[in-house]
Amino acid sequence: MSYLSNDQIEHHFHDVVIIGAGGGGLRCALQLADANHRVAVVSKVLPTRSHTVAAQGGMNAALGNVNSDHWHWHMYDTVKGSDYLGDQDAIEYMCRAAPRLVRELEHQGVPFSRLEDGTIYQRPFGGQSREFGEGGQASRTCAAADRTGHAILHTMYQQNLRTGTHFYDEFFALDLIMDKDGCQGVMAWDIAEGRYHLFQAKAVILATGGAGRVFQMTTNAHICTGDGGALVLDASLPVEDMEFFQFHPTGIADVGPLISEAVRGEGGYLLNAEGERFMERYAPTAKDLASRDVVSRAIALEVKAGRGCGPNKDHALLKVDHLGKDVIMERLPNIHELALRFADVDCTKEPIPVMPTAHYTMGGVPTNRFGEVVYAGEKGKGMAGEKEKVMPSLYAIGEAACTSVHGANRLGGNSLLEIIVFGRACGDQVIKHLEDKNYHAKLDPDCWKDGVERVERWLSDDSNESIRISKIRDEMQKVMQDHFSVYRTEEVMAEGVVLLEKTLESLSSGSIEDKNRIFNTELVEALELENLMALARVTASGALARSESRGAHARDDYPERDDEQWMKHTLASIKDGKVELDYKPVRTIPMSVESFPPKKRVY
Amino acid sequence: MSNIIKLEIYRYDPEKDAEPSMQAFEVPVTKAGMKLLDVLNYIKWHIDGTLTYRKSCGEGVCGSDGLNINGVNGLACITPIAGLKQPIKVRPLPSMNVIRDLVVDMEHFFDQYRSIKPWLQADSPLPEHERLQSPEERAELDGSYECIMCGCCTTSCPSWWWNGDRFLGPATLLQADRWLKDSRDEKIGERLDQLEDAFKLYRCHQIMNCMDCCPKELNPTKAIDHIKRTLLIRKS
Amino acid sequence: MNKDRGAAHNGLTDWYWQRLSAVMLLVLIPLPFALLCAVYMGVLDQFELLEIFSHFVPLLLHTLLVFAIIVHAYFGLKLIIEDYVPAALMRVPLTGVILLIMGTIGIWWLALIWAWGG
Repeated sequence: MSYLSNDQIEHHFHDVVIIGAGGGGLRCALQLADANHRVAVVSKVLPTRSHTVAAQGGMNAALGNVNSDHWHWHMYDTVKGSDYLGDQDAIEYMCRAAPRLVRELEHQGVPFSRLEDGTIYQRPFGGQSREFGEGGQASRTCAAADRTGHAILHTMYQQNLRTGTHFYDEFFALDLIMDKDGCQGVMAWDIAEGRYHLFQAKAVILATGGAGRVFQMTTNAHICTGDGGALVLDASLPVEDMEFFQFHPTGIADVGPLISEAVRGEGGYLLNAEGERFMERYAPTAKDLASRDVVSRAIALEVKAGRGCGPNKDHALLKVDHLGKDVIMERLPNIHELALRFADVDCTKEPIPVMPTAHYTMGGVPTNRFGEVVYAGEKGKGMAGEKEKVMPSLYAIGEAACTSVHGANRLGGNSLLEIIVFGRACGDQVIKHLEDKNYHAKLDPDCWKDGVERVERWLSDDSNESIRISKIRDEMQKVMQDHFSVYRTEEVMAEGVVLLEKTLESLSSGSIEDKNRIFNTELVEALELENLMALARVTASGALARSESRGAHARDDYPERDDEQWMKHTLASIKDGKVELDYKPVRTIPMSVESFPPKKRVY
Repeated sequence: MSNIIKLEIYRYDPEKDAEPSMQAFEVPVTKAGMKLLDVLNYIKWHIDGTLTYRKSCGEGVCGSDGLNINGVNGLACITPIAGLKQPIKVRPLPSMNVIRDLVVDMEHFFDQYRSIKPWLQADSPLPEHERLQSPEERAELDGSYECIMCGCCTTSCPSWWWNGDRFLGPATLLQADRWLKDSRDEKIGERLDQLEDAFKLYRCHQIMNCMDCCPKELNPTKAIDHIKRTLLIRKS
Repeated sequence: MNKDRGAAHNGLTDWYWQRLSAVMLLVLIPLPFALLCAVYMGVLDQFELLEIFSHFVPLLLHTLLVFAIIVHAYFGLKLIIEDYVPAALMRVPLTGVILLIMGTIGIWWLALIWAWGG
């Protein structure tokens, strides 16, 4: 029996609680479990269902297996790709760690594809170059066919089975337990049993992934609802750079599933309605392997100019058949399967219809390169050199975090790298933190209340005017899709912000039909909608405020990048129901090398 | 094709129902190329919010939505409505404990997976670089590492229905074989020791339901046969 | 809770003998059929048939056939029992009974043909 004021709540004690069982969460759990800490992984789905599984193309590391390569070149590409919004210390750390960690993954059993000499197969990917952009295309993306994410996630799960990590599968995180000493744990809802659990821990790690479901059309899984960001917002902490949302150039038109950049890495290219290879015009050197934001915008421009394909003239075509059936089946079997199933196209014979589709959340919970959650000091002082502060015992990694290694635009192949590098780095940092944190803190006996209220509000049937939550979600996604996708203008976004506030109001009168406790997935959808709504609001406000074009944030009315005014990170928080924006400087000083100063991005 | 889709869906609410029942639904066709998951989502979002099923990626790589569809196991998200006889009968995976509606308890399935120690085991000192593996050796893993653990094969296997408590089932055995085939793994002997058992392995009678229904078009029967042959070679 | 008792290191022998006996059956079963056909077509009469069986090689083949049938049937039945009889308390005696029956049939049959030949 615990000392909490409610004995219906099961009180767990772990050294570390990790929320989310994707690649990042599991890599971090592995680091901690191997150091003999009691690790609990709390996940709303079974671990192998996490969205890491859908990553296709691969993971960047300057192994130089195909042609010469160096982590410093990788760093240059990443900084350039980020449109100079990435924090260069974190980028240096990540690119330096990459070769070692890819080899470590291989040692752990990831079935990477191989080259003739037995080393790991590497393919070219968008935005990669050698010798700081002067030496031509690099081949830096380590791949397991086009199922790299699946291979890595399963290997991480297997390794955690080895170490005996505690898994709490199908538990939904409701509320962070915060007190003056930082984060003490998390309240969670056992979906299958319909019961409350309080996980108390000396460190809480958010590894909840992205928030692609704020958009109507996305390559993301149904579970990508930005739960970590929403938990942090709920705890009155800020989230960073949410306006930067990557649109992947090649989602299958009108359906969403991702067609990996690997297709273009292996030699596929894009065509418009006139059969022209239009990327030659937009990026004369890199062509189809320009950075994702560049390719997405190019497709959007082609469509705008009336050169879109299909009956609605709204998409482009991705040609692969010239690679030949053998190469496609060996290197891109999953793409072949997806195109066949979702576009009804045999890509060994016909091109695949593709359009830019919401894909990756560059923003997230602000952290430093150790995974520690940071926040600006006093309000408004962010830019004035106020040192950012660390929130004790709270960490964030992976897509949920904004470290920020991706800045305004992520390079393909850097997301799998990020989860492994920072999963591990965060694990190491937590191990240090645990050295002088011997005991669990005493909690406020009422600390469970907020979490329980969040669920009970939906399960009680007091609402008389009921709006289906699916309707509210559709509205929100439509607003985001129509007002905040590839092209943004002041007018359209301002309208979007107003509409979004309206859907927020309808959320308070929203209700669910399902009042059961056991496996109530409608309840889960309602909780996810709350999370999505919070993130959509900060995304919208951040985007409206940023009057420049940078990376994935492209505005018609401000087509140029404005380094004078905007080379800074947005910090958005929700205080008293209102979105507040603050800013902090970009960390332009790397750990050991010279800084890459902003230059015009040409591919 | 008419623009109404007829379904009968297995419903069981442990808090209210004593017995499971089948409930009929009619859903309009909302777009071309609809998949079964789209239809289930339509029901959940527009008709009956209490319908319970698992979903995640929606593109056939996460393995959440394994269901029994018109008597054959498959993933809802990649099963096109077009090829299905109506009313489409949707049931949870067979021989599993149903938690609610289409959601089954996967715990035993994953316990069995864990029992084969599905991780790379090797004692040789790690090389400074990656372990070398020729493309041919790597090609051996094709057809097994792609498994998404959806449970479609295992729950379609009559041998597993009768002896699921001991028989490891096609999914787990496919993974067991993956480690036997991996040129980097050094515990083949111990792995074979753990598999040589009338109940764990030899319950497979080549019924081949597993191969028929695998959404990823893998062939567990062949893998099981490979394990048996490897055991035989070790003995002779 | 995982109460896995490890592997019993059985099953391989059963599988091996079942396969071996199946191969033997595949080879040997056609022979008596050929003889039967010969009798029906009038190529052989009954005495000539019996005559064939008094030679050593046919006798040996016949013995192998009996052996294969018995072994195959025993392991097949054992397999079915293992599949459908979950309680060990039932399964073990039942398998014993099958072994006994099969053994008896086998010995009786062999005795019959060898006595014949002798």
